Amino acid sequence: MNRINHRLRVLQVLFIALMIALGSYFVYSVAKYGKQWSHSAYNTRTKSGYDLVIQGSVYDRNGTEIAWSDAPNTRLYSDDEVLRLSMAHILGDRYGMMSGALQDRYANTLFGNERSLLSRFTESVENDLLTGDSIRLTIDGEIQKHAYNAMNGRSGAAVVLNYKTGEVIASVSLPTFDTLNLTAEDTQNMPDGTFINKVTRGLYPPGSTFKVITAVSLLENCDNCDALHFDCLGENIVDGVSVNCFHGTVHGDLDLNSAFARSCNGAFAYWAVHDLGVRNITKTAEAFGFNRNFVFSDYTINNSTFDAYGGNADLAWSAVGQGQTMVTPMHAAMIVSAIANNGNMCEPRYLRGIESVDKGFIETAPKVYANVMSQETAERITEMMLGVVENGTGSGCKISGVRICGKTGTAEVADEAPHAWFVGFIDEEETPYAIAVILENAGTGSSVAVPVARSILEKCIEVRP
Amino acid sequence: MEETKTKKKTLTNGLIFAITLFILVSYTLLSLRNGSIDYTAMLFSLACVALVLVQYLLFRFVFVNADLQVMIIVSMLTNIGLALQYRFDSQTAVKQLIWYGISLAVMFMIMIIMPRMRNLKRFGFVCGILGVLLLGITIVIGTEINGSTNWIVIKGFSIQPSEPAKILMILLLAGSLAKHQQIRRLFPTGIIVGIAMILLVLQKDLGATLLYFCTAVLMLYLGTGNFSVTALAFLLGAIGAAVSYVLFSHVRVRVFAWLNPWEDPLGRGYQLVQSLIAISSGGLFGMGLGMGEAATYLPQHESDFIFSSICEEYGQIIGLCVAAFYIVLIFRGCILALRSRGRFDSILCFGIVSILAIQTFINIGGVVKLIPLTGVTLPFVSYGGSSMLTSFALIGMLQALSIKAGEADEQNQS
Amino acid sequence: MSALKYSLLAKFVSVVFAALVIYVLFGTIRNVLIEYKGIRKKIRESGSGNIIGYAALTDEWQDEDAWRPIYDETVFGSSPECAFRITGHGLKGQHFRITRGKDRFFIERLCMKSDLLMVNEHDVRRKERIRSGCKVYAGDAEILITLMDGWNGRD
Repeated sequence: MNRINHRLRVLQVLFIALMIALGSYFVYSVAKYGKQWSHSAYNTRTKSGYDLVIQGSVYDRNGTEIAWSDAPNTRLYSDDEVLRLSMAHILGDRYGMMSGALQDRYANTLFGNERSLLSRFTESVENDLLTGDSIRLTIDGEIQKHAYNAMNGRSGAAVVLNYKTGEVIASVSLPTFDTLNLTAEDTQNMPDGTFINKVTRGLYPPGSTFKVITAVSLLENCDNCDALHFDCLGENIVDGVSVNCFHGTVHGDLDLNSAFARSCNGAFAYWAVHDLGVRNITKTAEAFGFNRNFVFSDYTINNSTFDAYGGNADLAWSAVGQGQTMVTPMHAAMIVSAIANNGNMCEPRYLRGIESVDKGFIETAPKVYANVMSQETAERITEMMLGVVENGTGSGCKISGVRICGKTGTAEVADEAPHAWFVGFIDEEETPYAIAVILENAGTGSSVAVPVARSILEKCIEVRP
Repeated sequence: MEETKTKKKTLTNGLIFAITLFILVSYTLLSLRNGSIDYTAMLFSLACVALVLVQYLLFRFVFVNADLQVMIIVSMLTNIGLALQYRFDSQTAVKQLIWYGISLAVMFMIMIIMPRMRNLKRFGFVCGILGVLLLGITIVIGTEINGSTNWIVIKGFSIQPSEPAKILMILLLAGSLAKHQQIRRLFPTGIIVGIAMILLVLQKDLGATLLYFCTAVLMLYLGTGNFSVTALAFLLGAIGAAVSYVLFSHVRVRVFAWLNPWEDPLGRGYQLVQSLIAISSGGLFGMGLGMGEAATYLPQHESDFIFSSICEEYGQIIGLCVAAFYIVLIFRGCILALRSRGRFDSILCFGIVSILAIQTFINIGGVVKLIPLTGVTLPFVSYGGSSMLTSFALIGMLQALSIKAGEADEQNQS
Repeated sequence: MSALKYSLLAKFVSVVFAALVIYVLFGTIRNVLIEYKGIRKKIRESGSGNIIGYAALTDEWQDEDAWRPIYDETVFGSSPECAFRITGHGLKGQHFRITRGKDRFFIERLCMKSDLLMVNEHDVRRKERIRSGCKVYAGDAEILITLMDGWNGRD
């Protein structure tokens, strides 16, 4: 009998252990995957729950209403067509062509699910429908419209950040669509890239704008940067690799500052191979966020990649922003924001705060993503970028009386016209704005991107959002 | 000792009160669902409360040595299930209520008769043959429902013979394991169990097959203590499972749906995907009784997938509590097996616990994607007359053994 | 009641449900654990250690319920403190004791030499070895013993 009892105890423990394992698996899988499951496309529930709610509104930072509802299951948008077109990618569309746009991300807020049960119940006693909370964006409608117009229908992206707080002042992606008048058929006939927010999801070769990173890397790793020196012959050979400057322009004798201002490919390729090495440059790039997983609350951003381990040729071209390097316009703006902000890279956000029905305006706090370099280095590279605008490739961006720093880029694309880049910032206390502009297959940075950026920055100085 | 007894008794009263409150609140809420007040719901709730109170009184004053805690657990589970059934369809809920009443009556009958039956263990073999016959009947006159042919339909009532056959099988196993210790003598039993399992496989009732198999193997271990033989039997079963995977397409479908439900979410994986969605949609506190949508999207939401429905409407917390209730039931049952005197009683008690435990594990495990889906119901909670009847019969036997053990303890004291 | 009001009411009631169910769950767990501790005590009080066999009065051996367990050390006698209480003429308060060695079982005399204590027609002097199926005569009571070293068909 005793033996049976002993075995009974063993089996008892076995059963209990099995059931506890079951319970743990249940808790674990629901905790980890529950959100994914309920957000699955095959779940028709979330939508039906919304039949009783009037979705909250979306405002820009100044309180202009961009999207709102006056009844369940209908969504109205601003009469201002330019505003609508420029905001389309931020808001999202109703056919699910865009994933993860703000109205989806904040669906819970807009549908009032974050309000307390009590307040919802009290409201239901009086009315038959609930109101959701509204959200206020960081976007300034005026600047947004201006940026849209400045791009003048050309494909690409433009983004303006407040580098002290990380707020996204403007974010435009072209080609775009009209949220108000979009029909199901339209979704099939739009040009490529209409439903992608290129600011956060568009990956492009950075071209010469990457020289900012290379320069920072040189400043950090070289003992005596002032002694760096290169004689540019237009068509240069660096370690057996041919590195040409744009259009074969002969730059002559250059030091670090002048090479940067003139955007000499040969110089930077040479210094990268001889004075930096692939490890150092990769380290700097990764400190700035390349090859890292960005996980931000407001949006999904594609990761930027930098990989120069393919030998000297790879390193040489990667140092000037070609090779396998890819970056998003948002990340480019983040990089110059860090430079402008003493080496502190803020997390860009679209949400300024939530207008709660019950609790009023709840502001979102700025967050620093990382400290990517020392203040000294930041100051030095700022001066170099100032040089680009004062007497270099970015001179088209000069605005009198204002310190504008920047870097142009002309990213070569195989068999097509190059992408035109400009990244930069206003180095003034009262107008702390950083900008990144890219126009696809449009030509050189200095001739095409710079005027667009200048126009937008002028507007920013005027409006001071 | 006296003080703890009174402390416990007050607590028991409180527990019964809580269950009663739960019943009243849930049906009151349900009665408000459609515009005008649904008075049938209120009547229903009174009927449920009456059943619970009658049980409690009988346990307290008549069946003193029976296990009150088990009764509380079973009542709570059944009523959680009943309220949900009513929310789905008041007609089926009424049917379920009738089955509940019948099952309780059967349970009490067993509790009266079984402690007096001295020679139950001699009838093991007979039970076994009966069981095989029951399973065999469906091959001859069975109807196919939901992919398995193990139902018999008489005048609109469908019954599953594989359910009562479970009871007969553990009687067989307990009887022969109590009598024989040598493996040789256990062969006839093994053959009968084997035949039963083959019959089940032929009827495509995979869940029952798994259930019978695991119970038999565990009881074998308990009876003989022979690790190698048990491992061998287990291995045979595993081989059988592998063979069935190769031979039968419906097994392959189930396994595929278990591994990659999201790759075929509208076809093979539909049920599992909807189950997972239902579970996660509920959140911690559920969508609210009556607000869930499982009824529209999840087939068998009231029987096999009742656990998902519980998570969706009552919430994941209550879902976890339901699982916890079963754990306590298992624990209690094993203690009872330890208390029982005599090999037959102990082994039989364990068999009962084993069936309930394995059935629960297979059901919840399938619904949560821990193991492939099989067609077993969740005892007490799922809709199903045969399921409820069998589960209560098993509990009745458990209580009978508790009574026996209690009376023997008393005798020993004197 | 409007759909909106019902949905909010249902959500509120969900919390009530959770509270009730958790209360019942924890109450049951508490009870089960309390009783569990009590049962362990019961086993300890009725005899130390593990069950090593069963004993019953010879004239009751047919009755399954008459067989009571005996443990590693079980005292037989008429006193209520005995683990195995037998009444009868000539039985002392603590008459004899059954104990376990490594894998043998022993009967020990606890009463005076003048009191009757025999195993299978053999008188017990002080400590004797016993086997399963033996009959113990104590006073005018006759007790059948079955032990773990072999089954004699009884249980």
